[in-house]
Amino acid sequence: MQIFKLYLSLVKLHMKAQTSYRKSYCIEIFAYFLQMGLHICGIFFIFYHVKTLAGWSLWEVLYLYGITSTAFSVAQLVGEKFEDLYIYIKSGQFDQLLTRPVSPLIQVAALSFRVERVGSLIQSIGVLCLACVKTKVYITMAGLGLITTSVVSMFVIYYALFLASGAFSFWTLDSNEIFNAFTYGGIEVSKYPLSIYQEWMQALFIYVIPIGVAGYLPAIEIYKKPSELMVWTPEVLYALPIALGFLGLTLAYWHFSIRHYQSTGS
Amino acid sequence: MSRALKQESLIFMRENFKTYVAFSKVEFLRYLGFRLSNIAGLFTNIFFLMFRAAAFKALFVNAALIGGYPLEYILSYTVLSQVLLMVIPQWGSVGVAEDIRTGQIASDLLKPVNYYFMILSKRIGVCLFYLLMRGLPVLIVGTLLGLFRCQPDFFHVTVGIISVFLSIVIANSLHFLVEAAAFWLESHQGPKRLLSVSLYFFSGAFIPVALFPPWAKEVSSLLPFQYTLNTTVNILLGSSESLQLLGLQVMWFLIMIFLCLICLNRGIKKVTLHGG
Repeated sequence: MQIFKLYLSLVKLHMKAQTSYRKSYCIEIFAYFLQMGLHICGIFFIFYHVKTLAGWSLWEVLYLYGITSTAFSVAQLVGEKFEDLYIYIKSGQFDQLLTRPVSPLIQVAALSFRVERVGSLIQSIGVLCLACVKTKVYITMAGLGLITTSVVSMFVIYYALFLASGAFSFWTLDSNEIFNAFTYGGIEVSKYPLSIYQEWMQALFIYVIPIGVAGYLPAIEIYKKPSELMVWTPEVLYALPIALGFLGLTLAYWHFSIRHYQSTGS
Repeated sequence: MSRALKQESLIFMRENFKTYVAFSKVEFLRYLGFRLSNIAGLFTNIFFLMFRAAAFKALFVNAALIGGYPLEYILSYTVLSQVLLMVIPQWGSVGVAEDIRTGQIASDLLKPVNYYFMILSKRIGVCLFYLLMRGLPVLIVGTLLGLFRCQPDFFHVTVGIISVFLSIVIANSLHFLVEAAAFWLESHQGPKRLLSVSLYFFSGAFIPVALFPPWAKEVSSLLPFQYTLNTTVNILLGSSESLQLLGLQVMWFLIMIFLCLICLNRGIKKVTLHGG
């Protein structure tokens, strides 16, 4: 409870700083709105030329996209700043974070909070709901459970990726762009059915970074699609435990890295 | 007023050509220092290339032509768009907003060079770095993976290289204009985000403009964004309208330089108003 209160007051302070340039801020909110809109446009443009993609219709793909971007928006709200952690490390500001009696994870979460991201989140949930209605996913307890598990597991995985990216920057400073291949690359992959990718990519996004387990496998279950994956896949039931296991590994990596962190000062 | 301004700038440009080349060179060398960072970025570029290529291949499973283009064309386009992604900047800072915020611009303006051309020549150095260290390796990997299947002729490569240069100037000038908004808004974050989003989508870096539905193509042709990456890639892939495309780019090139010089001229007055 104490931690939550601290988080809220940090967010409040941070928001005050953000909104001090009002005109620029309004434009920024619009820009984020446009960004999501254009991403969705991209999917519509693809389906302007074809009826189905690997047997999936427009709205089924939009369901996949809805799951992905809802989970990713939440992950960004609490973990996006891990990507910029190297800036804090370089300038020595990270030491400031460490001296405070609050976990750096909470502080990064507060720094990551941006109101315009809440806008993206609402848009994502809108797309997801619309896709569910259009594809006639009748809301049964089982279906609802699958969708929730899917979103939560994927959120956990994206958060873990942000965390790993932050931990990586303790060692290499600004080389954590490599994680963009898995975070933003992960969005690219999980917004389309996983079966369209080559075998090694499927294996990568199931065994190494289990985004496929969280998004694609539950979707197969929901739409009763034949699984055309060329790799052996775990059961849908394991999505959440696997995601939490992945988070556990990255947390261990984070703690290991932070123990070896030796400030910038001399 | 603007004509006098332009003439003055041209004289500046001629007299200080060597200085500008030195700016480019120093930036190029500075970026050479971040080797590991570039390798990380290269890795990401190649991953994205493979993801995109796989998605487009799935699109062509039941069709030989989509939007009038064969798979080979779209794949080659995807390779070249990843090659040029960092060369023709879609996002990132050109340094203007930072200069305004920190006050660095005051000392830069004292230098006997035009601030806009100084920023531009620095950026050209950076873009050349990305062309050699990021673009070329992506092109080689794309070719080795069998994704790049285009053998451009001498004419299109020559026009293409001119076009790369024009694109670099147009894209960087767009960033310059938007960051110069900091003269008036005190923060450039909003406008900058808006530019990156539009540039990334309408330049064809996300989906080739060739695959846009007709109405979206029309919208796109009215905006400056597609005359960067999309036009250059089309020329390099041997478009039959290469010269017309280049003509349009030259038009936007001149418009951008003109706008940037005017904006700088107005902005400088604003800075003086801020004082100290």
